[in-house]
Amino acid sequence: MTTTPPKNRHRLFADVPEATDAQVRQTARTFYRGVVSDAVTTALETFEWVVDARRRGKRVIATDADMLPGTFEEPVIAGLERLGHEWTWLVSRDHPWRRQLWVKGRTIAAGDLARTAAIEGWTAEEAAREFDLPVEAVLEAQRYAEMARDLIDAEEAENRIAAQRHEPDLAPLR
Amino acid sequence: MRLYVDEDSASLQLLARLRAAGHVVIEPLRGLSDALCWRHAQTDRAVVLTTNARDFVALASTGAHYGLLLVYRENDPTRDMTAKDIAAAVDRIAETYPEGISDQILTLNGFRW
Repeated sequence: MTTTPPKNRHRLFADVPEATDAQVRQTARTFYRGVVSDAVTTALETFEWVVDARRRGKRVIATDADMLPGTFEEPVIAGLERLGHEWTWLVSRDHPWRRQLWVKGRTIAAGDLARTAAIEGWTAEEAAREFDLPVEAVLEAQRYAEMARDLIDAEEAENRIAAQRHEPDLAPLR
Repeated sequence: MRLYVDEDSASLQLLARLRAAGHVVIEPLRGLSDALCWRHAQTDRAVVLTTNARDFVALASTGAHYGLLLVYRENDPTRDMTAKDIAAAVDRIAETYPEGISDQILTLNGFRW
């Protein structure tokens, strides 16, 4: 049985050595829940970021966090949010399109929790009470939200676009 | 209005405000998939309120339902809806649609007059 891919998706074939095939699949398994297209797309985006920086006369280097210069550019690479960080209260989940971390044992995305606390002006203690969570879980979600701001903003934009399709043209008059 | 508030929005303050306004708010499920929560809400004949528009709109498209209320974040402190704003917008929906909102999807951000 064959399935027709969605119209806005294209299938790409490439002959690669066995080792490259294994490397791509391993990367997809480790960082992208086995989704090869996500791994390849992200790798290409990262490469393009490097090329763009080089074209602008920049050097692309790695350095220790305490050696960072006053100004610098850093790529946001989806899937690597957890790398170098051990989260106690946050976990990744299988989700069709969201990649941000979630509060362990709950269906609350870390970014949603941090955003709600910010909108309401709640302290971490107040947010913890409001959602029946440990304060440490809220603090960790807020730290993560700072780190993964671009990813969280992008996922909020997805929901905003989906919601705005159902916005009334004109709110009823009272 | 009979409501199921999705877990990511179900702060004590929002639930309390909705109940104080006379709405019946069923207890949110914890840690379960959106699909299970949706089914639970439909079994309980409840309107679902969520910020998770993309996933719940997809669930709503699977058949008849008791209504879906969406809240979206504008990333603007002067525009983003607090629990107080959300509860007020739900009141306006209840006034505007006294017969209920079965099979309708409405965005609460559009009801902050």
